[in-house]
Amino acid sequence: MARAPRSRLQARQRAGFWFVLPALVVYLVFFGLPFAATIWLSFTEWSGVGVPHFTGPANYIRLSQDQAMWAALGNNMIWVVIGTVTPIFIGIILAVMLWSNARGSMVYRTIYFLPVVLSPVVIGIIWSWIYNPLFGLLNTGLRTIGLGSWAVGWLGESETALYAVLVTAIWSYLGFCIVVLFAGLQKVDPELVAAARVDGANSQQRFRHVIVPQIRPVLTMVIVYTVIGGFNVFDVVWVMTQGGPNNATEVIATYTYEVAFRANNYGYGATLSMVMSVVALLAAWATMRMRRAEGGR
Amino acid sequence: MVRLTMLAAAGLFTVCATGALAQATTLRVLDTFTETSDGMDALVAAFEEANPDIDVQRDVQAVDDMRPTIQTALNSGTGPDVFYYDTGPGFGGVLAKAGLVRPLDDFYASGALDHIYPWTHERVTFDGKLYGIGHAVEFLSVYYNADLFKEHGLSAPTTYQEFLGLCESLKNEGMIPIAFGNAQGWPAFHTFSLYANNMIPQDRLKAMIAGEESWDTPEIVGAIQAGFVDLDKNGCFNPSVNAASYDDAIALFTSGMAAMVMTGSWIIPTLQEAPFNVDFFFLPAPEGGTTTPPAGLSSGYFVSAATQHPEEAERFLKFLFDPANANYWVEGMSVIPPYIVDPATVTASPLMGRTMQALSSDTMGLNIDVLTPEAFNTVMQDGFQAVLAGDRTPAEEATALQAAMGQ
Repeated sequence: MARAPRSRLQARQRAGFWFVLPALVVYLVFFGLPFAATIWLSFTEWSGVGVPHFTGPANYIRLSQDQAMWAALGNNMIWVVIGTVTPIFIGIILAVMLWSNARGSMVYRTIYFLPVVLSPVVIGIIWSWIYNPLFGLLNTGLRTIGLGSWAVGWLGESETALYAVLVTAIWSYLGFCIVVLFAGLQKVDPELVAAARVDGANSQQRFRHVIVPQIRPVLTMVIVYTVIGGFNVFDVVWVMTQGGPNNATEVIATYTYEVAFRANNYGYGATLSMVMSVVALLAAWATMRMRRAEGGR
Repeated sequence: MVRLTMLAAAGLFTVCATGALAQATTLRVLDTFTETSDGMDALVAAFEEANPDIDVQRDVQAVDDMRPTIQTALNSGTGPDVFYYDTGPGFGGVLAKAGLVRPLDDFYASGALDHIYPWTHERVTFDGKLYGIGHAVEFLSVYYNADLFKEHGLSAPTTYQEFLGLCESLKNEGMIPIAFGNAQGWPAFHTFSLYANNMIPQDRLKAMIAGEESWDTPEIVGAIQAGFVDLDKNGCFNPSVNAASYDDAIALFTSGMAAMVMTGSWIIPTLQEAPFNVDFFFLPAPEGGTTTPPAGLSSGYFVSAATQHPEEAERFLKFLFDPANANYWVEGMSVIPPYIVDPATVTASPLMGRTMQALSSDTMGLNIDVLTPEAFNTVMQDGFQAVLAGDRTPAEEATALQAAMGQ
């Protein structure tokens, strides 16, 4: 009698396995195998034609001396810090404001979310026009209000290019943060907020000690997602500057692309992509550990 | 009975038609004529009409997309039979050395390509074998707004001092003398080629490109200084050259805001649409140099080593390079084929006509970036941007160029 439920359970498990199998096969073919091949390629020298030559750890030794790689990684760090803090900070403020004042929140959420539905390529092109030093909206506007001396080639100056691209990325990503955090806020217990108000907590205290702890899982998810995106960023940078001027906006993904597909050095390109993967995974793991240490889940 | 006979006849017709279709060979062709795709389609249609036994399946891809994908496509054995790709050791040469393209020595020996300029052969010759057919002859020059020059009493300069004086005059008139957009990095290649060819003898420049002579020389430093630092410092360019794109520069020129633009003859179709007359002059060499406009081939046709249809591929190429079909290239696509074009056989605009005339009458130099390896071009791309931004000196860039060539 006791075996019947177990066999039913096993049958259900088998059925579950068959249901999962197609997705597993797709995952293995389009992610698992290429990932394994990339690991293998990272230990070779290969121009894209002929047979790859196994070179052992030579590519990884080269990494340590590759100044361009370190510069690109530095740009990624700037991207991760500014590109994570800014949209989440602005996003959480706007999300709380929308949550507190439900009237018209749907309209605002739609407006904020609109850039998210645009392709990064389209966003990059549009913002390149805005930044255009000759015909661009930004410089034209600055000249119109008498700030012509501030009108510079935003994407052509080493000092401004990375931040100009970052502003674009933040603009396009902000809506996602707002909508996800707003969804997280729906689980916040209004009675706890009201109780805190009765207890004399000001708005800052209510936000920090009552609201944030309740949206911590969502917040962690957004941070991890943003950090990983910061290390993998490619499209908007490529469309707007291709890593220029003079590598000022080069990030690890654009550098990897150039090494692999322009210089036809697929072996070292694979090594760089491994760096990108490992750094993103470490950053995500560290973020989650940090949140857990603070008591989140 | 009649119905049965008709059915039998229809069946027989179907079988015959199917048999005829089965005999047609499909030739897969991949090229980069994205902006003049209709012109290329017309040429392919003419070929198919003249060769009903060959069905050309043509695909088109941007140059930037072609470079990273063609190796993989050929390596996989599923690539095109015929493709249009950059010539030179860094591109076609890499494929030839990897055994991915088919030698065409026998095709050349058959006499079918005797009319092709012999100088194009060396661009597609690797390890002593001819692997392709160089195509689309181009040169770099200075295009100018002829109406504006006439209006201000200016004329095309014959010396470098006159050229600098022209910049000064235009600047004083409140105009942008030269439109220059280098956001992509590669437009600076052309400026550099213009100056290097004018300041360095051709035999030495060839030796530099072959890696037999150093790039870290006073002449290279001088070319970078004159072409980028001095012109920018003297206000010859528009502001923010590293932020403006090549298209921005062309727009500055065609909108009449800038008087000149340094670029290649491939831009003629766009310049012809400007609301004023456009003409060109070759950048005069500074004192001691020889005016030598860089010229070269845009790309070339290659045949895959894995093709199952080499004979059909050669018939296709023979048709493309037949002087009787020159009009498809010149009129339909504003492309100058690599042979002497009989003016009577083509309908060319005045600017295109002068361009073809210039190609057959002047001594031409080398378009450097199509001949140098990608690693060298990357150093040119990043380095010239750095020079224009003031982050690197011409001497440092010359050293970096030599280091890249050394790799």
